[in-house]
Amino acid sequence: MKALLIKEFRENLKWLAVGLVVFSFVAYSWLPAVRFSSPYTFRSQIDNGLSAVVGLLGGLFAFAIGVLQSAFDLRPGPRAYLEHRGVKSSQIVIAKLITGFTVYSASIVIPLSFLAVYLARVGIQSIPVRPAQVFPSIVAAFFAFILHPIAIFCLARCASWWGTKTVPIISAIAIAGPSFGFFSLLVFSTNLWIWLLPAYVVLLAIVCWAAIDGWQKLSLNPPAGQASPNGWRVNGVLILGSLVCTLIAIQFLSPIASSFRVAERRDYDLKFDLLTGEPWAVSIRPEDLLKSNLTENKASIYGCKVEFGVEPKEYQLLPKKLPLQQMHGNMAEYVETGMFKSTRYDQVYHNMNPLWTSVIDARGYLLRYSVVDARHPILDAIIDRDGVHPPKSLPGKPFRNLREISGSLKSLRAFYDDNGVYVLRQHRSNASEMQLYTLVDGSVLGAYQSDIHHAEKNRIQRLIVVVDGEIREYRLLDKDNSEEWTHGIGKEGDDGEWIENRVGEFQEIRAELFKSIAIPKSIIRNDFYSLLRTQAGYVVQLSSFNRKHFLLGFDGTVTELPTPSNFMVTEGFGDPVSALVPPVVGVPALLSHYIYRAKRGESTELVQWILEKKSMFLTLAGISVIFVGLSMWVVNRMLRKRGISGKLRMAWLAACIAFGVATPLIVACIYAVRVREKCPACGKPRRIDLAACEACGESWPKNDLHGIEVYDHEKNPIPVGV
Amino acid sequence: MNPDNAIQTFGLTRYFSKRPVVQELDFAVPRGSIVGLLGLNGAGKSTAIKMMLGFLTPTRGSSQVLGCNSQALKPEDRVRIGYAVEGHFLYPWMRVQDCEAFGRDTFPRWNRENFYSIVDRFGIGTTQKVSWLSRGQRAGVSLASTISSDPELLVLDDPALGLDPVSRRALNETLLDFNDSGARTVLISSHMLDDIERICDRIAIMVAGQVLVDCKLDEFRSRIAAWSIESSTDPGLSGQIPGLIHSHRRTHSWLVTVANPNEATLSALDQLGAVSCESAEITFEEAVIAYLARSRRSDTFLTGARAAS
Repeated sequence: MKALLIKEFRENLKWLAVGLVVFSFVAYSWLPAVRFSSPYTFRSQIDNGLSAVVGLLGGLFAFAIGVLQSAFDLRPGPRAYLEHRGVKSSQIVIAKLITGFTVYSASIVIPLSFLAVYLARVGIQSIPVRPAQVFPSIVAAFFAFILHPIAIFCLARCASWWGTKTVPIISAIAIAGPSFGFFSLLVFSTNLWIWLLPAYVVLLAIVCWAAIDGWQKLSLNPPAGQASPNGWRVNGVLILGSLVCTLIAIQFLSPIASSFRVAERRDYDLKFDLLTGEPWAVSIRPEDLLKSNLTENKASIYGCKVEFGVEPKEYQLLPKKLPLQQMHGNMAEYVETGMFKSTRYDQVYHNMNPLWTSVIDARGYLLRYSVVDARHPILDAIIDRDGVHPPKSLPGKPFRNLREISGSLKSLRAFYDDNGVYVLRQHRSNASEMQLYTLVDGSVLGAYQSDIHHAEKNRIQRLIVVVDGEIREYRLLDKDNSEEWTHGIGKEGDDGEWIENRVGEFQEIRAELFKSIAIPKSIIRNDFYSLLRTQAGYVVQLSSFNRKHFLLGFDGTVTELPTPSNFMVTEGFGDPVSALVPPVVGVPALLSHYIYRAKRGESTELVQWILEKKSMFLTLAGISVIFVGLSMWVVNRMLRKRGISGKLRMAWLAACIAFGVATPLIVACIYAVRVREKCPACGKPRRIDLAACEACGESWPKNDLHGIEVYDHEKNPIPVGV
Repeated sequence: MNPDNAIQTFGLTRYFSKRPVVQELDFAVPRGSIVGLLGLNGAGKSTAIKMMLGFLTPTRGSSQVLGCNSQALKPEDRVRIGYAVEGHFLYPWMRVQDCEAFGRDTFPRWNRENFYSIVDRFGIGTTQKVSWLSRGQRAGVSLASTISSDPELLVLDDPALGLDPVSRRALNETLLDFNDSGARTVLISSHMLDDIERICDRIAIMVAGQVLVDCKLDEFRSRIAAWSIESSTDPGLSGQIPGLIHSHRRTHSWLVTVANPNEATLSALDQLGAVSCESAEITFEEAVIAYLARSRRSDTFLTGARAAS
C-alpha cells in the first residue's frame, strides 16, 4: 500500500499546482474589498456565491483528477504492470482515492484558508463578511468530490463508448446533481445539512465502493454480453444516475413543451378593496406604459374583480377612486442564525442615504457601514437590542431572527425579531446619530404595517403584529398621543394640496394596543406571507405554496377569498411533460408533500385540490400509462436483444411501472448488447458467449482441420491423408 | 486440469465485437518447459496471453494457470507468475533503483541480488532514470523486475521487440538461467525465430486465432518436409497435395512445404507431372514462415503464389 501511495503521489502531485492556481484565483476574485466598486455591489454573498463556484469548479477538478489517475493506469501495459503484483485491486483504487482527495482538498482548502485569514485580519470593521462564511464553500467542495470516484468508476467500465461507457459517464455525472441539491438545501437551512451530510457520506461511500468494484470486476475490454457489472453497488449507482439523467432530460423538455402552449400572459398586481377586502387583478396596459412619463397614479388602470368560478375576462378600465391597495408582505425570509450563514444587505436603507448601508449580520447584529469610499467601507455602528453602539466590539443581546418590516413604518425603518418590534430613527440633520425604540416587547411571529383607509385618516399607519394565535393591531402614538405624525418628508394629499409632516426632534413614540382578534385554528400559521388591513377585516395570504387568501373579520369570522390562478399560465405540475417523471420519484414526492401538508393541517386541501384538478390528474395518469406501456415495449425488445432470461425480463417489465421512461436507459446502462452469429448446426442466430446453441443445443464445432496441424498430444489427433 | 501443465486452455475464444480473434484455443504449457508462441501480428498471441492471465475476459471457454482459474487470480496467485508486458512498460519517472524498491514492496518473495545481477548483465546503471534508458535497457529492467519476484511461471509477451543483438543474447541467457533447474516454466511470445529455436523446448504457432502447431521443437522439425519441384505452374494450386502448408517460387523451381508427409504425399507429388521433384532441406525458420504465410492466403508476401486452401 505504501508503494502504491508513493506511486500515486509521485504521479499526481503535479495537479496540486493546477488546483492551487485555479482556486487561488477563485478566492482572490471573491475578496470583497477587490470586488466592491460601488455601494450597489455591496453584496459579496460569500457563502452562497463562493460555494456555488467552488462546488462547480471543484466537481470538474475532482472529475478531471479521477480521469487522469485512471486513464493512464487502465491502458493495457500500465494496467498489467500495476496489477500483476501482490496487491489487491481495492488497494489500488483506495490509494487513488486517498491521493485524489489529498490533492483535491489541498488545492481548495489552502486558498480558502488564506481567504479566511484575510477576512479575519481585515475584520468586519471594513468588510461585512466573517471568516466562518468560507466554511460552506469547503463543504460544497467536499460534496463535489463525489465526481472523483465516479470518474474512476466510469473509466474502469469501458468496453465501447456507447452502451458501456458513455451512458454510465452521463448518468454518473448526473449523480452529482443530488449532492449539489443537498448543498443548496444546506445553504438555506443550517439544521438540514446535519441530516444530509451523513446521507451524502453514505452515497459517497457507495460510489467509492462501486469504483472499486468496477476496477476489480470489469475488465479493460470485456466481451459483449459480459459487460454487465455484478453487484448491487455498481447497478445501484447506474440506476440512480439513470433516474437523475431522466429527470434532467424532463427538465429540459418541459420548457420546450410549454412553449408550444398558446396562452395570453399578462402581468397583474393583486390588490384588495380597502372597504370590502375583495381581490382585484389590476394591470397597466403596456401601451399605456409606453406613453411618456406615466406613473401608476396617472396611468389608466385596467383590471377585473377576482371571483370564484368565474373565468377572467378582458380587463376593464377601473375608476381611479376605487379604494384599492396592494398587500404588504413582511418579506420574511427563513434565514436561520448560524456562524456559516450569510449576512443580508439592506438596499432600502441604502436608497434612503447612499452614504450608508447596513447589514443584518447572521449573528443577530445590525451593522451600519459608511461607504463614502466604496472600496473601503467603514463600520459605523453596531445595533442590537440594547441600542446603537460604536463599532469597537460586538456588544451583547443580539437580535434573534431579525427581519425588516416591508415598507417603511411612518418613513422609519422598522424591524422585528422573535422578541419584539423595533424602529430605528435617524437624526434628520446628522445621519450618523441614531436611536432604537422598542415598540412591542414580547414574542412576535410576524409584523406588518398597514395604512388606514384614506377615508378615515390619511398618513395614519398602524402596526399589525402576529403573535401566537392572535393578530394585534397597534396605534403608533407620539408624545401628544397623536397618530398623525411621520418622520418622512411631506406628501401630496388627495386634493393635490401638499401636506407637511409633523416632524419634531427626537421624541418618544410608543405602540398602543388598539384591538386584537384570535386567528382561527383552521388557518393558523407561524407566519403569513402578507397581511393587509381593510375596513372589513384583515386580508391575509398564507405562506403555503398555493398562497390562498382569507379575510379575517374583526368579529372573528373567516372567509376564503378567490385567488386568481388563470391569469398566468405557469402551471408546471399541469404540464404534460410531468407525466414522464418516473413514478418511483414522482409518487414519493407527492406523498411527502401530502405528509408535509397533513402535518400542517392541510390534508383536506390537497384532496380538494386533486378533486378540483381531476381532469388534469386523469390526463397526466393517461399519458403516464401510455409512456409506461411504451417503455415496456422498448425494454422488452432491448432485453431480448441482450439475451436476458424470461424471469429477469418479466422483472424488468414490472420495473417499468416504477421507473417509467427511465427504464430503457437503465437497461442500456446495465446490460451490454449480446452479439450473435449464425449457428453452424441449425442456422439460427445464437449467442457467441454461450457454449450451447439456445435453439438446437449444439456446442460450437472445433476448428476446421487443414491437414497441416502438428500436435504431440492426444487431445487433437493428427489427421492423415486429408 | 493436468497437473503437469502450468497453463492450460479449454476452447478459449475471444471476439472483438463480431470478429473472432482467438478461436477454440486448446493449448497447454507443460511445467518446466520453455514454450515459444509464434504468429504474425494480429494472430491472437497477446490476446490469448491476456486471457490466460485474467486481463481479458474470454467470450467463451476458460483457462487455468498454475491450477487457478485465470479469471479469478488473486494477488497470491499472481506473485507466482512473472509477466513482462509488451513494450516493456515501466514508470518513466522512476529510476532503476526505484523500480527495485517498487517491486520489493509489492512482491513477497523479492530477490534483490537477482535484480541487480540481471540489470548488470544488461549494462544499466541503477541511478539511471527509466525515461533515459534505451529500449534494450528498458527490456533489461523489465525482465529483472519480473524474474526477481521469483515466479514459478514466466510469461513474456514479445520481449525481444526492438532489441539489439547484444541485448537479445542477454535476454536469452537470462531465460536459460531462469529455467536452468527445470522446475520453472517459460511462455514466450516472439517474432525472433532464431532465438526461439535456440532456447525453446516446444513451440506453438498461431494462425488467424487458431493453433496449428503445438509440439516439441524436434518433433516439429521431424514432421515438416519440403520438396523442390520444377514446374511452370504453382503446384500448390492443384489442391492435390495432402498436408500442403505453403508453396513459394524460387529461381527456377517451387519449394513446397508439407506437414506430416506420408505415402499419400509422395503419390500426390508424383501425379503432379512436374519436370523434377526432389526432396529439399528446410530450416526451422522456413518451416515456421510457411505456416505464418498461410494467413495471407490470397497474395503471399513471399512469392505472390496462392496457398492451397
